[in-house]
Amino acid sequence: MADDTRSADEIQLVVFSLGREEFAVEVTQVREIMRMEEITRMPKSPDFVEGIINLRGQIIAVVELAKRLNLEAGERSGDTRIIVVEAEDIKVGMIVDSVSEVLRVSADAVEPSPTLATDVAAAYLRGVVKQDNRLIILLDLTKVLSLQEMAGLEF
Amino acid sequence: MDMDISQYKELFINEAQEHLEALNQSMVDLEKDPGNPDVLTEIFRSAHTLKGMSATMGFDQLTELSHEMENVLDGLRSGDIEVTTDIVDLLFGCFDMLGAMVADIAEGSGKILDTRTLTEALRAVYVGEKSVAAGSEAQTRPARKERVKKKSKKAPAARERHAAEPPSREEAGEEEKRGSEEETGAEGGEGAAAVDHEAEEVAGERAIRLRIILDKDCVLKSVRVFMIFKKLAQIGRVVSSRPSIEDLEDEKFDRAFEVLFATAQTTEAVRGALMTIAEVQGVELLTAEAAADIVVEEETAGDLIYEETERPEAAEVRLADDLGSSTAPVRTQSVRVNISRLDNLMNLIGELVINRTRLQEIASSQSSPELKEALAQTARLTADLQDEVMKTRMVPVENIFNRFPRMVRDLAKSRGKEVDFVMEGKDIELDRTILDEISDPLMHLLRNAVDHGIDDPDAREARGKPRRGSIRLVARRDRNYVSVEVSDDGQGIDTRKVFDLAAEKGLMSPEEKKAFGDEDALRLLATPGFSTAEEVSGVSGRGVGLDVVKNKVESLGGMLVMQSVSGEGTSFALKLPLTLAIIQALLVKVSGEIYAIPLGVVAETAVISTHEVKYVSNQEVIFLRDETLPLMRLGRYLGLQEENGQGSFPVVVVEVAMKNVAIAVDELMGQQEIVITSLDRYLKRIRGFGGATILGTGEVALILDIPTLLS
Repeated sequence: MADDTRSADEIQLVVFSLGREEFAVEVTQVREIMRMEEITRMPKSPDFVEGIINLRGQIIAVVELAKRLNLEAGERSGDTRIIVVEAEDIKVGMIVDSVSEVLRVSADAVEPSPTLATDVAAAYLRGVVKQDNRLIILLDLTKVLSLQEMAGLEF
Repeated sequence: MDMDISQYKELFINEAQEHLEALNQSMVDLEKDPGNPDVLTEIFRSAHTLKGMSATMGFDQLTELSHEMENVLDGLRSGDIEVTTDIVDLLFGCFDMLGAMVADIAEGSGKILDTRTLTEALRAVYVGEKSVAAGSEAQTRPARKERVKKKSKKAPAARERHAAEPPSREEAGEEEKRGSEEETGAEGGEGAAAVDHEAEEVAGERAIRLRIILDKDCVLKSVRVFMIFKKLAQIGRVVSSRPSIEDLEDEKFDRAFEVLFATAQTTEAVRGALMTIAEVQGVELLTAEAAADIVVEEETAGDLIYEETERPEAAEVRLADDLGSSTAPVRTQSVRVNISRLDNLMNLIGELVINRTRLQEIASSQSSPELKEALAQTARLTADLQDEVMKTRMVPVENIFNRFPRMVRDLAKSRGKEVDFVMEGKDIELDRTILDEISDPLMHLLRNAVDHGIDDPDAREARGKPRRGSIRLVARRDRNYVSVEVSDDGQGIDTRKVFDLAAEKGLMSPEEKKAFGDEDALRLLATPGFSTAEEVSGVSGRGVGLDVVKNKVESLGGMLVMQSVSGEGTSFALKLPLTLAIIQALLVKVSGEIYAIPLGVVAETAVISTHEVKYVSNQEVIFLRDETLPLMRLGRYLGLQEENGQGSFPVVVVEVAMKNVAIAVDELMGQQEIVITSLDRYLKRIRGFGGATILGTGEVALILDIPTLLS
């Protein structure tokens, strides 16, 4: 991994849960974390696109992250959050079961992911962070938000 | 006080492109009216400015080529070189090459383009001219002014020098100075000599406060400032300036600024040196004091407001008629603003409009006359603000029209056709975004008009028409629409052939054929794939891209209208909304979701009883005033849950492509002004939606893009 070379660096992660697993994205890519709100459906979109919301005048897509990663989604509850992330100029909201904390870890702590550690396809992973018996999966947002799947939608 | 020139790159590119466009335009005019001195002056002026700008920025290739070109232009202006098609073509070639260079600069690719062929051709023209002109000068130019003659005598020497070696940057700068200053009588050489001479006489450094006034047409003010400071640094040192150097760099001044300058030179020498810089209109001495007494004074506001009466040198330094002629476009006070800024502003206004609507909704449930009055006031202000911002986005169609004469000319020439191209209504304004979008469609229609509309000169003569065909591009304002029409007086479209072919291709039944008119012919022509009908003469190629044009216009909320009379000509009119950002829309509800349908495509609305729905070849249809309309259930179409409409349901009749279609919805919510927010890259790929809008309640509603939704 490219990150391995930046030994002494620290990274900050926003940790959230999805089903039984814990995931994280880098804090630098997170624009905001908001409560669940009314989402306008977006017809003719892939099923992981939940719809669109008005983020202070900007219309952004909201995806059901669990569906995107082929995981089972938890029930919507008071803890459900939308994490608005930005990668490669695309701003997207991701629905997660709950957001737990912002974690500061050294870049060394990010290890290449053992493929068996999660049900999530390896393509979406940047690595795993082991912390006090926890296994936190670091997502590669660029891949997660990839437009590849969107390309096949034109009809 | 160093300034970085790279930051002016964007400014330079904009200006250069404008000058090139002006050059292309003027050259087309010149070809029509070869003797017109005003047009020549205009061309020379643009080319000269372009060269000066390029030299300032250090773009040597550009400078070099425009310099060579200027020699030929100079010959044209003096009458030594005749305006012929070959020369016009050559100059057009130069403009294209210069355009390519500017594009390279914009991309930062740093390519070196091969200009040798052009340069040699240019040299061949003006060197040839010189030898001829030498013999006949006295006879050919008896009436010309003294001033011009003097220059002509000087010019050949300079030309020879440059013919032998490309001008270095300094030389080009010198050239520019000559170009703009020689008419004023302030000869650069003499000025420089004077500086040297007087420098010896002045002992010790003094501080002088100067007011430097730029020409009122000065376009690259910050670059001029840069040059002025560079020049000042050579002959002394700048102590301070008003406004500050940062503000000067940002062009935060009108036309004049002050510098406190320490120098050993005389005031006249300093003035002489500064006046060699193009577009410096005047230099005034405000105070002079010993260097030791320099006190940096506090800036006082309003100091720099330029006053007409304080300009004793103005008369001396004003450019002579030759360059400052009355044909020069009148420049108004304006500011360049990045289009994204305007987009942001428009978005903010959009939000304001949304909030206003929301407040009004809240107010309607309150019984406070004060609140209502204040809101009414706010509503009025918002409307005015919206109006103003919309106006700032409006640009004259001239901006895109100007490139067409050149295109039509070149195309007509290559096709062996004779065409008079007339443009009208160039000052009609459209939203910048719309204007950008219709450039290609118009180009397409014009190309079609030359290629397929106008017939060969011989064929025209045989039909009793003038040999020269005529193509007109007319912009017109009709209430809330702008119509842009491309018409030709060519052979017209044989609609019967179109219908025959359509029937052959199974696009229509023989019965339909009888009832069809021009509109239907256009619909057929604009059907993708129809245009491959190359075997039908007079029709072939007509449809190429017409579907693209039609789709583009419709996606902008406009319409494409065709009229054609066989043997007499064809016209295509683009009917466009004035602005894109805010449109009138019909809001409809389908299984709990609200959708907006742009009013432009809505023909009518109606309420239909369930039993009125019939089936024709397994497709649901309804009958509305003797017309059979296919019925599209929006909910089903969008994959939403459908409500079981009992009894009756509303339909929205929309006009698309070939036919009218009735769209069944659950509820009509009424007409409303909506602000379009575009969908980002992530969502744009999902077709069928033209954007989204935020309603007064804060809810988001998708805007249906009917043409793509149904195609």
